[in-house]
Amino acid sequence: MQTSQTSNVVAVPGKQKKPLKTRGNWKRMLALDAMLLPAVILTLIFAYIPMGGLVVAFQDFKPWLGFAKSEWVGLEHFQYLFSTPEYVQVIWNTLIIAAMKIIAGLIAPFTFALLLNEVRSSGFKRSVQTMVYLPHFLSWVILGGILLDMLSSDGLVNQALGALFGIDPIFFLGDGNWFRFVVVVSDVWKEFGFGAIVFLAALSGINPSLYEAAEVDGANRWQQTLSITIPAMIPITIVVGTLALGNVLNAGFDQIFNLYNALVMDKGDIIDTFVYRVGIVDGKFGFSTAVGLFKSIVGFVLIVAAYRLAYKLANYRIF
Amino acid sequence: MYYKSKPYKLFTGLNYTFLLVLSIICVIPLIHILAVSFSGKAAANANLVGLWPVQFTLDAYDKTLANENFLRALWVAVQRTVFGTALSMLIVVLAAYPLSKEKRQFKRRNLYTWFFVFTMLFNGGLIPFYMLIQELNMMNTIWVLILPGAVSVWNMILLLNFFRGVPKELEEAAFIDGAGHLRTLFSIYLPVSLPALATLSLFAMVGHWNSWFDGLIFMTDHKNYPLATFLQTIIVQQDFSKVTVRPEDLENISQRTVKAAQIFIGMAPILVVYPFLQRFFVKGIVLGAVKE
Amino acid sequence: MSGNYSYGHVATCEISLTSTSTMGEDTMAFTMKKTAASLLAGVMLTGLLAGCGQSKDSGDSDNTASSTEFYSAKFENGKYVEPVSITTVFPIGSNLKFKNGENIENNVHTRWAKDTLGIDIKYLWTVSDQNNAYQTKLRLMLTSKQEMPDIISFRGDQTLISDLIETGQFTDAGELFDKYASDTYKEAMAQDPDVWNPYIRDGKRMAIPLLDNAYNNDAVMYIREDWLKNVGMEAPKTIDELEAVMEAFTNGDPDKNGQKDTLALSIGFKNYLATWMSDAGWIFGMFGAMPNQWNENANGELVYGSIQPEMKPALAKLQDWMKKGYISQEAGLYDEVKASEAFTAGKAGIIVGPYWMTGWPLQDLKANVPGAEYKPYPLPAGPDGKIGRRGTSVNAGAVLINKDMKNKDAFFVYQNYLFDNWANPTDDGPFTKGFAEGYDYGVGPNGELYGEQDSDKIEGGWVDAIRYTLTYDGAIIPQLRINTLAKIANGEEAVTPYEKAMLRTIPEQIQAAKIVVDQKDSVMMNKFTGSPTKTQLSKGDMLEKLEKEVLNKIIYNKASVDEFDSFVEKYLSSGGEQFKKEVNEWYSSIKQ
Repeated sequence: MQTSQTSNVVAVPGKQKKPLKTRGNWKRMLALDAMLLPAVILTLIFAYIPMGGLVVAFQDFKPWLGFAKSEWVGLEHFQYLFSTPEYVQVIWNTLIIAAMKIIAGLIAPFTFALLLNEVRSSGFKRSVQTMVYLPHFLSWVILGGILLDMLSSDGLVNQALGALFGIDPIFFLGDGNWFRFVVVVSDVWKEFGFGAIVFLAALSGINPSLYEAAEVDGANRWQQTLSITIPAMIPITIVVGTLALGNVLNAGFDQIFNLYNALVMDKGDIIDTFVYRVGIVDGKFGFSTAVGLFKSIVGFVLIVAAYRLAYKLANYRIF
Repeated sequence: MYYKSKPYKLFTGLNYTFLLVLSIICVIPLIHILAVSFSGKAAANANLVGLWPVQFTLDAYDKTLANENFLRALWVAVQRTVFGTALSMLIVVLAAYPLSKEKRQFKRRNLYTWFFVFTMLFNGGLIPFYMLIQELNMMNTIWVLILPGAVSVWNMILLLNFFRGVPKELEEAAFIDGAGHLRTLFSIYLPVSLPALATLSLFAMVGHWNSWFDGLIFMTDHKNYPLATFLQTIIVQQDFSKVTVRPEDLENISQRTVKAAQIFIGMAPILVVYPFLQRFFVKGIVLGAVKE
Repeated sequence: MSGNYSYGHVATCEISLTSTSTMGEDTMAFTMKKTAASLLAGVMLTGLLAGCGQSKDSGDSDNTASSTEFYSAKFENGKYVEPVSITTVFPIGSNLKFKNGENIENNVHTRWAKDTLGIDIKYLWTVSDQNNAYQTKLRLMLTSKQEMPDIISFRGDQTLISDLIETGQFTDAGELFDKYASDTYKEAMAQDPDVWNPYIRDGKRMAIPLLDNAYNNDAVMYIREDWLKNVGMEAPKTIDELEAVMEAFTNGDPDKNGQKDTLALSIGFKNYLATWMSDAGWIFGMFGAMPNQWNENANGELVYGSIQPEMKPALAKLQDWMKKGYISQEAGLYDEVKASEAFTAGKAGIIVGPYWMTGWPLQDLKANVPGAEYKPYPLPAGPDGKIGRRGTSVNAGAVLINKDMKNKDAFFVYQNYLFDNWANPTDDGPFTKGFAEGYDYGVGPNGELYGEQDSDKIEGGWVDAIRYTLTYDGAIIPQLRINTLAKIANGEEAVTPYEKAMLRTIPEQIQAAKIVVDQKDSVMMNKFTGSPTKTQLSKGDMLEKLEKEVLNKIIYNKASVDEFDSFVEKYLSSGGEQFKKEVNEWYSSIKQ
């Protein structure tokens, strides 16, 4: 199992070009088509048909007029999004926060999974695993309130920092740079346990005999980790990372919305909070769809690029 | 043995400590919320509850559990979770298998893959989706909760990657024995992919259990609400700047305790299920089947 | 009866009526017929109970005579002979409780409507009123080929109502109102002449406002009475006295625990400076400013409060207070509810908010801090003796009437009945004790009345059946509640069932309500209630963001007060000027 997994990363060209022995190849392929049929049908119905609704991105959409009769406005919504410097700032904020989240959100569960893998007591392992994935189930409405208390000038965190390092209270949620930091760290804290589940599944698929063999060769644990464990986790990490690229313009509406305030608007306002506020004044279907479409396109381009890159450089298909 | 070496022992000590601290940091907010759910309203509203209930009471749980709609909503949630997860897993397994093939084995795989990946990013929004559900006469049926989300592309991609890890020798041996794709999938692939299947089932289950918006929008009768939707409805979220306030209502507004109880009632089943799934994550349990 | 009654007249009339009147269900037809006449006379105060003194005459003859031409279906003895139907949609709020296996489609209210009025209420769909689900469903309804209901009641967001009006699906409701509404209903509506403004399109009133209690969110000041005693001070009447108290509350250990752990004032302006609770609007009011809303200036022009020069001294005060620690460092991060925690936890000495705060959240204070006492006080006056508070609109939403509705009068038959009998019930009317026995009241074996407090004595528990009504609260006469409370506070005897019911209100609330009424001259109303203007749609968010950022920075002393001037310049040049022009165009169109 392990060998083939690594071969995905460093593909062995000779092996791939081996001709298939099976006869009636097209018939077998038809069977594969058939297996995909349920998924294809459901996707067509529930994803592709409603996608027609994307036309409202180019319309001044009025629900009661419908898609056909609403006025066409071309690229007006997109122009509106990019025309003022304020909005460009919002896009930057989104990119910065989201990028930090994607990177940290990949490293943290990965590292955690590795550390947990070194735990030999299965009781401890299971307890830790259960505890760290719990925050995933809490909503930001609740966590926002808790963070507000913990990070206040006389809150737990500032008290601890004061006692340990003698630092003056930090205005975490009232200072733009600290705000971004808090947003990323708290998001990582909330999601790393749940995110680690998929890495743990990958780890549990590693064949123990590989470690046994390495042991015989005299490799210490660190060397084993470098040569066996990490390579085994690379494919799944690349997949998760690539798919996360699709979220490069989603910086987390619920979280920001519950934490931000006028003092950190310049650093903390993101596309989604902006669309929300504009949408409140007016049921702007057209505008919010246009913004959504913009986000999708950017995400999609990045995913395609990552896919191409992996294929070109490492001859590896991410999915 | 590596774990008898001194540096590794030191590492182990640090590692255990670190993981312990990490777990505590993750659990403390939950303990706080648990404490709030058992606290009196006054203390909870003034934010005086720490990690231990103040003015202990079971009111919040009473209020939620005594509601006649609770059991019905629970039943709807169980149904959608069980059937939804089963259906979703079946579809995903069937789809991930062909997609895990190399291009030379299955020419159209790339086309299919992008066909699915595209839908991860692009969607038409709520309005056309709502119109579609209406056209299909799926309003107020359990199908609206199960079918639209059945094709989880995310799960599909993860699974196809796990499938790629299955030794090709096993598959080829099966083919030589005259097995078709379907039999190969079920008798060779699935048994060795239990950790992956457990993981993906967990994702599907959690998704079903927690989603409430579809219930709210597509059920015109609140008797059909699943638990997550029902729990949402217990709490008043009023913006007083817009809506009238009747002083008689004020008793019901301060629902911080109910909200806290709701989190635990909603989480409980997942907490119960997770340890059972966990045994699939324990290293090497399935490998007996693969060892050559 | 169409004369100009003074308030005194109405009051006498009311008293005589409650003791002698036989006004019952059948008065309604009479009142309705009178409406056209009374409107022509331009009656503002037709009398709370328009029919008083004459109600006895309103016999059946009057009724039947009018039934054929006036009503859309045969109408006798106050009800439709053959039931007519009203279709509608409804949000199920979490405060809505049912008993006896009832639901919104079939309950004591729907049966009442059918039996008493001959109106069959049908619900096309209902939805739990959470996370704007009702709003979302209404919008979705517009997109699909669903059947449109006869009437839609909606509370909240003005834009949705604007959208609904724009569909062209709804009729000129004002015209129907003039024709069919009863005097009581009209009188209630006339208590605020601006209440129709948001719904006027081309001079037509396209939706009927849902009335709310007047002054409902108007502010009073609550002060910890025991803290005042501890620091040996009186409640402040002026800003100077206020600052002295604040100094003592911050640095004088008012809670006598030997620690400097108290705040003087709890405000939270994450959302707005002038807001519904933990309010800071009154601070600006002391200087004649009111941010976040459109005020009318001396020339009768609407101007945006946040950019007026009067803002400057108030901002300087807030900046100073934050420096001195009178208000929390977190004030800009906290919303209304979060900020109130400091007061209910016994950490802050002053909070400003509506009279009903006494019920929630202030009641929590006594549970959390044994021996804590608080009292409502009038808002203090500024340097020039000015007092100003943010006003509350009595407009809570609207009812839209489908132009294809078959029996458009049916809604008014329904609503008139509730205004005539429920809003301020008489001693012998159908709703003297409540809406329905066994629901919102019970009667014991010895004739004693059970209310919400005796929920366990009512079989199946107390449920507030009036919440099932099409207009959510039955019928509300805007000024009745607060005036009644003020009356009780003044020691007047409670006579009517409504007054007697109000007697049960907690004492602090009665006191607070009295202060609200006493200080009613200080109200500053938001005068712009139209749908968003063109500039507001394109630039509104940017302007609001600019305003919030600058004002917060000034209060947090990250910018000097003088930056206010450059902010105003920037505000006006980035669209504020145009915005003002559009708002005033709207205002003059309404005033015509």
